[in-house]
Formats: sequence, structure tokens, C-alpha cells
Amino acid sequence: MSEAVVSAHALSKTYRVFNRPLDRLVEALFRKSRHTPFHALSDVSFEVQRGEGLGIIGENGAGKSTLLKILAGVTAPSSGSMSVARPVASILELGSAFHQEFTGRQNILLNAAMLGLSRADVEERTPQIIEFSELGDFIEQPIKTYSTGMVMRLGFAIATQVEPDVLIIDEALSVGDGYFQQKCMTHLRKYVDGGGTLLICSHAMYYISAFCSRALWMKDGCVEALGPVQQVVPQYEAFLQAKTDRSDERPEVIEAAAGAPAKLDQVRLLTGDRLKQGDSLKLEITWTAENPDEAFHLVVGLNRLDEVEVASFLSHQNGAGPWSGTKNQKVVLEIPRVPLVKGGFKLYVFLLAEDGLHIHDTRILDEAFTVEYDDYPFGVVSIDHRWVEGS
Amino acid sequence: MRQSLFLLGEFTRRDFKGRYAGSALGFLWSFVQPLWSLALFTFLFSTVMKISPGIGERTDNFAIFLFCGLLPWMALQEGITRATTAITDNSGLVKKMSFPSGLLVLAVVLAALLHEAIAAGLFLLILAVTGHLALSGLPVLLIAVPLQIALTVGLAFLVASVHVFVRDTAQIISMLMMGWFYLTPIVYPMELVPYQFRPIMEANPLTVLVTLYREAFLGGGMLPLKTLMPLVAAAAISLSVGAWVFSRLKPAFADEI
Repeated sequence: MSEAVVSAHALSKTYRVFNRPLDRLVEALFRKSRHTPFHALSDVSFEVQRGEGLGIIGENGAGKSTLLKILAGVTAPSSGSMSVARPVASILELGSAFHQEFTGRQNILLNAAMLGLSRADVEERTPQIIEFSELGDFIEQPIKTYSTGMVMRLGFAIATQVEPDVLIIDEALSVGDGYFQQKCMTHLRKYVDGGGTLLICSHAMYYISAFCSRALWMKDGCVEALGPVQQVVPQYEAFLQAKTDRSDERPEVIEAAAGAPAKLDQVRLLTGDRLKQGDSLKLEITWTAENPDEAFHLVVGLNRLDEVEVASFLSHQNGAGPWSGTKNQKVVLEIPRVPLVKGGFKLYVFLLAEDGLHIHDTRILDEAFTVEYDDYPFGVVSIDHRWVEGS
Repeated sequence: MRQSLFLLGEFTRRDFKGRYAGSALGFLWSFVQPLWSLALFTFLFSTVMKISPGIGERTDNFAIFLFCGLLPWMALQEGITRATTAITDNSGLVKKMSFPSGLLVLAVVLAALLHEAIAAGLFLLILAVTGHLALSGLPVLLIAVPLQIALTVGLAFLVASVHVFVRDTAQIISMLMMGWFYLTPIVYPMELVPYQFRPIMEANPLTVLVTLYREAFLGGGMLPLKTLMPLVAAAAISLSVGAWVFSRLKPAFADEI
């Protein structure tokens, strides 16, 4: 099983930005530098084993498409080496390589030939391709009469029905009606399960999680992380959340005033900073009071990294506290089953006066914990529910 | 290799068919176009301007004299003109698929040769019907056609790859081709060219090619090597320069178009 069908070693792609096209000609012919370099890809190395799905994630302009184009053999890397097992089929961007004047059937022949199929193979697979594309009689019409969805269907049908060893898909699943999308997904699932190797780039983490065991996170043309999907996708999502966070204004926080009657000492998670939905969470809060007789309340705010307020825990509202009687207090907030399904979260801890209004001290755990998952979940929380039929 | 031939065949077919796709006469245009040029030039140069092939030529029939020259010219012109945009017209393919893009250039040259073959068949038919048929010279084509292909392919590779980067190429080429046509004794015999210009004319590889075609179709024989040299040299140079430039520029195609 451990056979690398795709391997990339130190791949870099530098686009040369030319002022005039003529400069490019001169440089290509005479190898004389006439450009300003733009590094689209720097030093990318990885391997993909047979039967493995690799998801390529990252923000726009991170180099994902460039990487896929290089692997598909459409454009050459500036340096580094790579090998991709053949046959390799790719769906790069939308509206694949079709000749507008020719019919769907003629385009199948041409495309399959370009993918490396012999005439006999093409003839054998054409009926399957037509069937999968569900174009029916339209297959005899010129491509120019097709809708975007139809073109996509034909492109996908060709790329998958030629049964490539390696399939490269760049964000192509996002078009087409729901029915065909589902059909494609089922097919891709089967393809990977049947030993096919898939390289897919998408902004939809759900697809990545569904087809891929590993993920490659690209950032500014470099590999930011490469590892199991369960690790890399949450990291990437946390990064995106934190990015939104940074652009927002931080909520106003009142720090411990000089001469406050109490100060928070330590706020820590006893249950660690990584957990899964349904795990318990324990937050230990200790503080020092000037006067052992003075009583205090606690408020804990749970926010997503992008400052969406998710939950709050107020000791003065649910009958706990106020706490008093010793100078060094220790209280543990316990959530028996965390209903959160994914993402990174931060905690705000407020030490309040007995009246529950005045804030003596504040502590923020910036990236307090991350909720990990096995199957990609939608949403933020899991809510108890049932489905009732009929009635 | 086999795969490339299959693909080349498909590209050529696509080009050949694609040209007349959607037209009513379709394939028949392959006959109409050369005949129209022939009729037009014959009227203009023979009837109006009274040019006749005269001494030193193998025929005194202007139309036949002209057709011999038009055959290689049309193939060369069509091949080069269409090769200019062969890569840029297929940007969708070049940007999205991995395949030997040189096949796109070869395909248009091949399609042009097929058109020439059709016209040549028509020409032989006309010669037979009018009683001018002489088969003895035809083996000359075994030398003429390969040289013609080498010359065309080399120039085609050159202009196709340069046009990706300098889009003015297509305009420049159409002007140069017009010049090349009139500066070659196709619509007039060499006899009419003033003496001082003849060495230049004889150094023109296309002059040699046209002469070879006249020998071939009008019952002539092989030309001496010395006369042949401009064509042989031009074919060799154009093929090596064209292939070199194309291979140098090819890796940058997908990034440029």
C-alpha cells in the first residue's frame, strides 16, 4: 500500500512579471533576466500514496491552483521535481478544455485522447461517459449550445470515467445542480475506496473531510501544515476564525484596579486544551481576597475566536456562590458534556463583587481550547432533538 | 508515439472538419477556393494583363502554369497563417491539459497539405481532361514535398510560438506572406523579371519549390542541385530554428496565454 503515486520535492513556481510581453520572449529565448519575480509556490514537498485522498486547503492566492496545475502537467515548476503516476486526469477550473463548435461526442474523443487513451479505449468508454454525463441527445449537439452545468457534467464524466490513477480536481464540485453534485460525490467516494488517488482543492471543508485522509494547508505559497485531516482542518479553521477576530475590535475589558479587594490568581483548564463534543470541561479559578469575609461571584463567558458569544455562566444567577471565608479561594466550573462541535474558543473570566455587578478583575484565555471532531460537523453546537414522523 | 499520432490525427481531423463546420457546401469548399483563385488570377494576369508563360516554360497555357505555382503556395500560406494562431486559439486546451502542444501546429500544417492534395487531384483531373497529362515528372514530388513540409513546419513552429508572446505576429505574417507571393514567379514567368533581379529571385526558396512543381506536373525532370540549394538550405534552417525556438518557448505557453 505504501506506494507513492504522487511525489513532489521542493516544488517552487515563480511567476515572472513582465512589463511587456516582448521581454518574456527575449528572456525565454536568451535566458536573460527581464522580470520581477512573484513567488507563487516555494519549496513544497509531499507524497501521496495510492488510494489516498489529499485535500489542499488555504486562502485565495495561497498557491493551491498553481500547485495543482503543476501536478497536472499543464505548467512547469520553476524548480524542484515531481512525479505523478499516469494516467492522470484533471479538472482545472470550470469549463474544461472543449472545442465549442464540436459536439459532445467529438469532444469526448478529443479529450480522452489527450488524457492518453488509445482509440480502442476511447470507443469502449464513450457510452459510459455519455451515460454518466446524462446529456442524452445533447451529446450530438455542439458544446456551444450547452449550459455551464452541462459542460461541467461532461468534463467530470470524462475525467472520472477514463479511470485515471490520479485524479486532480480544482474546486469543480461547487457547480451543477444538487443531484449531480451528489452523484459526483458518490462516485469520488467509490473512486478513492477503490484505490484511486485523489488530489482535491476546495474551500468547502466538508468535501475535504469527506474524501481525504490528509490535508495540505497552503499559506503564501508555502506548506503551513501537512497531516491528518482531523488535525489540519481544525487548525486552518481556527486560523480563519482568528483572522476575523483580529479585524474586529476587542471588547472592553476592565483590568484589576489598584486597590481592588481581590485579584484573580490563576485560571486554567484542568481538562486540557483539546477536546471533543461530549467531553467534560473543568475550569479552575483561584483568587486572593484582601479580606476573607468578603464574598465574590464569578462570571465566565465563552466566545468563539471570532468573538461570537456562545455561552455565559453566571454564578449569581444559578444559585452558586457567593464565595467567602478564606483569602485564597478555588472554584471549579464544570461542564459535564460540552455541546460544542468544532472550532476554537476563548474564555473570559470575571471576578465580581457580591452584588454581581461590579467587576474586580478579568482574565482572558485567548485560545483556551479547540474542539476536534472525526466527521466534519456543521454548525457550532449540538442540540438535543428527535424526529417525529406523522403526528 | 502511437498516442501522439492518434492525437495528431484527431487534431488534424478537427481542424479539417472544423473549418467548414456549419457551412452548407462543407467539404466542397476545398475545391471551390483553389478554382476561384485560379479563375481570378487567370482573368487578371492572362486576359487583362496579357501575361503568357512563353519561352523557357513547359506550357504556354497560363491557367496550367499558374495552377502549378498555386498548389505549393496555397499549402504554405495556409499552413503558416493558420499555425500563427494555432496555440493562442487553443488557449483553453493549452492551459488546462497536459499534452504535446506542438501537435496543434503540426495539425494545421497537415490539414493544409490535405487541402493541397485535394487540389492536386483536381489539377491532375483537369490536365487529363484537357489532354495535358504527363506523368513522367511526378517523381519530382518525392523531393519537392518533403522539402516543402520541412520549410512549412519550421516556419509554422517559429510563428506559432512567437505569436504567443508578441500578438502582432499575425499581422506581420499576413503582410510578409503577401509580399512573398508577389515576389515569387507564381502569377508571372521568370522570363518577365528584369535581369538584375533574377539572382535574388532564384535565391528565393519558394521560387525553387514552384519550379519543382512545374517540372513535376508538366512532364519535366529533377533540377540540378545548385538550383535546389536555396530550398534545401531554407528548409534545414527553418526546421532547426523553428524547433529550437518552439521548444524554448513552450514551457511558458500556459503562463502567457
